[in-house]
Amino acid sequence: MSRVLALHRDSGVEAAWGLAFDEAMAQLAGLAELPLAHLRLYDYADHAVLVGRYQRLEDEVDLAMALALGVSVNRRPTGGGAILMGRDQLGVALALPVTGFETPREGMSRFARGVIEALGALGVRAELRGKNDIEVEGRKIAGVGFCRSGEGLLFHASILADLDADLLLSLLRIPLAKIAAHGGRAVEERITTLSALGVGREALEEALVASFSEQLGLETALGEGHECVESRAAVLAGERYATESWLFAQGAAAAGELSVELRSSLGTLRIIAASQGDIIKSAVVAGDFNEVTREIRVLEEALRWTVLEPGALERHLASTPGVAELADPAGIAAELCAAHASHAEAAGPRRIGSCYIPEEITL
Amino acid sequence: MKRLNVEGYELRGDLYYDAKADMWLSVEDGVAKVGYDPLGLEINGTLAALVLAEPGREVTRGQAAGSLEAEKFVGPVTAPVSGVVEAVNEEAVANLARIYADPYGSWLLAIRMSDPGELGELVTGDALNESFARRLAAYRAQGVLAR
Repeated sequence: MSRVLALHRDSGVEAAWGLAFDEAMAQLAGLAELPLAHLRLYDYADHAVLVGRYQRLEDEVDLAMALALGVSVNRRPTGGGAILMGRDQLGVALALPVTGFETPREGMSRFARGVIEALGALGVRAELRGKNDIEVEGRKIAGVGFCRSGEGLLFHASILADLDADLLLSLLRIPLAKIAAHGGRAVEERITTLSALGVGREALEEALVASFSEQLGLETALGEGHECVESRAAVLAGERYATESWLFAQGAAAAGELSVELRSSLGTLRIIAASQGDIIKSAVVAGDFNEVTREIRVLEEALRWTVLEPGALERHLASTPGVAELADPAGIAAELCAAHASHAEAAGPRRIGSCYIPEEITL
Repeated sequence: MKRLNVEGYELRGDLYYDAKADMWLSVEDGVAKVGYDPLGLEINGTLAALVLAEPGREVTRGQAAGSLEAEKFVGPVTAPVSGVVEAVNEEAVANLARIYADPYGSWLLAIRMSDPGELGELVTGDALNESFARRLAAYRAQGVLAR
């Protein structure tokens, strides 16, 4: 093993290749004479929609629109929701051996710090919000994800250098699209970009290299092990990422949309939440208010990745500072769970087990 | 059945616990039913998906017996014992909220053990309190659990 952080740079990559190369880095990190860790900074060819590992493609993406616009679609090895990638979204992939890794939350937090410190070196004060968003003054600038592949770990961040919000909203079936359709500044109020912050992308890339190199205590080595990773990536692309079985693999549960109205200290609020099975994946709050306040952001964040079980949801909301001041946690939980139950009933009985293909047994 | 409560986490004296897999096991006639314990659920974060080994598949203690997605992490479901999967609790897998509502009522896999001696590496009975407290302290030291 070579105790260096191999640095790979790519631009305009196709979706299958981009994803395969990331996973190949994870599978090879620390093996034989190869680098201990890999850092890849890259962007995709315009444009690619990447759904999360266990999402149903057709639930998350307007496939007809993607086809009409020439936007490719693929599935990430990491979890989470669908994202739009292209020349203006900087991909950051960090791969290292699983040794020493303790828990998912610890890993996510540790590696997100690498991105946060790089932004900090350029004068941008960012923070990890919730479990997997990096925000600047309450606006998301990057999403992070994490997975294990074989004996390696892959941390991924997508940083918004810029964003075509209209394209995003036309392609992805997300709650934000519902609100944005009614006008207003729904996207601008929740997202920021390097351009908006006046941060140069090249400067950020250099800061990211320095940040991860320091965090891991490794010198960087440009391109070391690149050919081996390419060879492995070619296999992964052919066997997985360029196949329809991967693309259309069924997720664990169907997606749904929940919409509820309730009283709050800001008047009547409407919560639009995207669910996957019994989980709220994301939520946005709309209402008759002039701006998205801190309380609204706190509630939106608190609802993400929560279980639609009344007791658990109420306890979680009640223990999140700021939520009770905005609206009754028990009322929010009851309304959302009732909407979920109603949605599940309307959707009919769930097929049990048939979609749980144990293809990841070799993890 | 002896129920214990360590800092709000319920433990059961008649079950085995695997601290590395964050799982409980109930053993009867050589078959271990396994599920996530309350601390394991909290550490993993909200489960969004579970994919488990099919019946008939061999699994090895410490190795993957499936995969999970929790809060954007995708990783293995670790087998706490070696053996052959006899059954998967499809009901629990398809209704993840129930696992949170009733962790001990929500077994995930039934594994016919190939090496019952592995139970000696797990924790049960009187040793639970101290072992679980150590586990809590370790997670808190890592900063992944509120103090």
